[in-house]
Amino acid sequence: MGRNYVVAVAGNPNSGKTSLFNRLTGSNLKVGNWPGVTVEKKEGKVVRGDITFTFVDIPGTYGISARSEDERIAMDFLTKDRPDAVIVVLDSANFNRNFYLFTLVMEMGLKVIPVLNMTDMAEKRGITLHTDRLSAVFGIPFVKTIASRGKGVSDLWKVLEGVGELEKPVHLPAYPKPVETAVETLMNRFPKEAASRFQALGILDSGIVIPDNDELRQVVAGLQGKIEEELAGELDELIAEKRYEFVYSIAKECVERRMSTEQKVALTDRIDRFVTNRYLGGPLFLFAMWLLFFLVFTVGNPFVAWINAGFEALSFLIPGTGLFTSFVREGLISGVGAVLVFVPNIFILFFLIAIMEDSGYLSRAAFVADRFMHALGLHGKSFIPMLLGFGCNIPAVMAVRTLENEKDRVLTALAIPYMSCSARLPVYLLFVGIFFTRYQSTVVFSLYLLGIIIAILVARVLRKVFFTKAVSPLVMELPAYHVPSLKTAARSAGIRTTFFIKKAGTFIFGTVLVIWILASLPVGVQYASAGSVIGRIGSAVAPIFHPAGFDSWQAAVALIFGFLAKEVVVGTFGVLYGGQTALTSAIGSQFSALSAMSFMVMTLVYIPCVATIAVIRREIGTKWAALSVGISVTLGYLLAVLIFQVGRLIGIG
Amino acid sequence: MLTHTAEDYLERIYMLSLKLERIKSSDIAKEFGIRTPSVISALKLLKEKGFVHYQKHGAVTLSEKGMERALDVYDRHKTGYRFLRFVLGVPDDIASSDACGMEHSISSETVAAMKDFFSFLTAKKDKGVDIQDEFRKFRKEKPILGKDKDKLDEKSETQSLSAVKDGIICTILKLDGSREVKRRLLDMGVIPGESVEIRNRGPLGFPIEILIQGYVLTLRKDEAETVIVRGN
Repeated sequence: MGRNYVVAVAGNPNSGKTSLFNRLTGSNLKVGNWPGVTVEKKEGKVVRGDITFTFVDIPGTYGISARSEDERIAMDFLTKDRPDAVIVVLDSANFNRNFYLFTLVMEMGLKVIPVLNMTDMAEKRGITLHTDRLSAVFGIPFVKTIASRGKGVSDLWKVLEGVGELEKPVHLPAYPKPVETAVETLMNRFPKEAASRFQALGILDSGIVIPDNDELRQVVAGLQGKIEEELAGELDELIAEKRYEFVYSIAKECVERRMSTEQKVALTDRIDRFVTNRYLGGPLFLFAMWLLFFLVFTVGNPFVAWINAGFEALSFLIPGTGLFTSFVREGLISGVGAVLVFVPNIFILFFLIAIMEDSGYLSRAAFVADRFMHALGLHGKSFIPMLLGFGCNIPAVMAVRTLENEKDRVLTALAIPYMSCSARLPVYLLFVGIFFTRYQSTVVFSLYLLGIIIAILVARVLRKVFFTKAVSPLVMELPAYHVPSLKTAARSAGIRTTFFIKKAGTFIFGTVLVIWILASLPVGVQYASAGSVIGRIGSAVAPIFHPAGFDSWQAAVALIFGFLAKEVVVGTFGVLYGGQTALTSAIGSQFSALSAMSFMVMTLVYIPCVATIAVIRREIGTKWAALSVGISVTLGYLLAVLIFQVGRLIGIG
Repeated sequence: MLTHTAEDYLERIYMLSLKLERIKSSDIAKEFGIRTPSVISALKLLKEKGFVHYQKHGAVTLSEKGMERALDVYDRHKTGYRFLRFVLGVPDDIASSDACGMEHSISSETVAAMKDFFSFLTAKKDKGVDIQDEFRKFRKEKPILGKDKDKLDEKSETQSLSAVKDGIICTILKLDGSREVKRRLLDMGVIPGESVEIRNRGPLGFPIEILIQGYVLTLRKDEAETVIVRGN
């Protein structure tokens, strides 16, 4: 008979958890979100003999409490879903901090499989972990691995295959008597809420949210008061201290440190002498950012052009005219194209982010940029997404995943759409080429600057409105440098890209179809002409733009099409005015320099594009995506009107 | 009315009972740094008044009455100490010795007011107003004159980690931040009693890189300010 085991994989960030998870699951991977939140959940099913293992990747955390989203997910999964066993991946070179997490998991009363990972790095630092002694102390097998090279994974499988007979660890931290008494009281009186020592302690030190039970609350308040009275000091400090003392005692018995060869530390130190140097750190960071931008966009864009050309060629292969042909060409093919066109940039970006993360540079970059970004109300790690926004908002929004804190993710994702992406440039160029021939670059530059200013203001205002409680802290590990694994990076990039195609793709594709329907109906009308539904909508809304100085139906239709992608605005004008030469004179007659300016600002600010909205929705949720649309449309319109009206008042145009 | 030393005895016995299974008169003598016979005569007196149970060569335990009194003294001591140490920011050793003097004379009214003040501070801090921090800053800016200044420099080695210079090894005494920050720091091994050193600084002086538990952690100025340390 087949058996099913659910095995959670937990561990500190930078403990090599992802590598080990990849080694265990191979390509059998399901990527989704944890219920109710936008944190990624990875699951892999593997069949060994008559046993089916379901591995669940728990977010990488240092502790487990209700204080952060990632930790809450980890806690809920471990304490409520109660997996059959938990693999705790431990960075052998960082024994204390990693064993602290291990201690927490043990206190949950689950079966634990401790994996001492990166033993090679530890050895280089002169740290030897004695697995035999550890196994003897805890009464459970310890497995040594070097997950990045697949070493020790077969030993881990042996332990996993015997997971049914595995014992629970026998050695746990002991607390001062009053605490132990309180834990006992809680576990006896409230077996549901305080199902394990971990939960009882969490209820006592407010590490977990106290369940809604008046009786429990009263008892807890009484116990807390009594303990704090008997033992001077605060409970959370006291319990953490005892846990660390427990870890120290284990380290004393089972960890051997030789003072001599501290090569690896020295190497990390030596690299950091430059990378996080007070004077060199900044320039090096800017160079790294330039390189990232260059690789993502300059190297990625030829692929984008090929994809575009490919889909264009494909649509030419469809012969004939008529509604069906148009549906296939403008609807289906361009819909699929609209999704796939982002793939090269997204793949390259997440490949590079994985390399930066794996090597240890990403946190250094955040360290260097933090002072500046913090002054703007954002986190050091927000710099990369914001910068990428200049190239394309879509990968930029997806990059907010690198931020740990939900508030920072939301604020950064909502600020990114105002970074002037490269798709907006053709619109600027069209208009400055006609109206601002002498000041082309100044005008374009000022638009970019305006975008940055709006992004900062939006982030600051939204923080004030939605996240009034103190700013999220920067308490970040700078891991030792590693040689990054290209395979892991490629896999991570592949996961992200598929995720984008699957989850954001349908939304983008659907919008392209809707716009096509609006532009092609009623049957027989010329595509996107004044008689089409979209043309009529354009004529209907055009008066709204009168105060902004552009009230032609063509401008309104172009803005509606701009929802697909900003550069489409130019193409739409081309179609509506009938060709390139006609376009220049038509725009020249329908716009003035002032209304051109207000139109450009409108283009910069209103809804970035459907794909950006789709990824914002995917990354931070529908509610925030709707807010982003609302703010950007209102703000774009108001700014356009403001520019036009003020300009007229002071006598320009 | 008990003399001060009697209250001291009860308090010490109570503290010892937390550590030891069985308290002997010699343990108490060691605590006070006096000879065992003087402890024995004091114990006899306490026994007469019904505060302790004690047989010759046997274990010392507090009676119910004695326990009540001991807890009361201990509470006054602890509250006084906490008030001096964490509200006023008086250095550890001074707070400790002052609290020893206060515990016998302070009224329960004042103790209750001090406790209310702690809850008041916590409530304020949860709302983002750190009165302790403002007071610390106020004291730091206030010019200190003459003899007092030398005395303070000598004694007050405690400071927040944000004020420590690079490369100096300190011991962590206390974490003062909001619950969220404190929990994160504790989880990452920033534990009272651990030693810590600033390894490097960001481009404009902050954030800082600190060495703790054998790894490198970065903190902004805001977080570093909540870590109270003492130079070694």
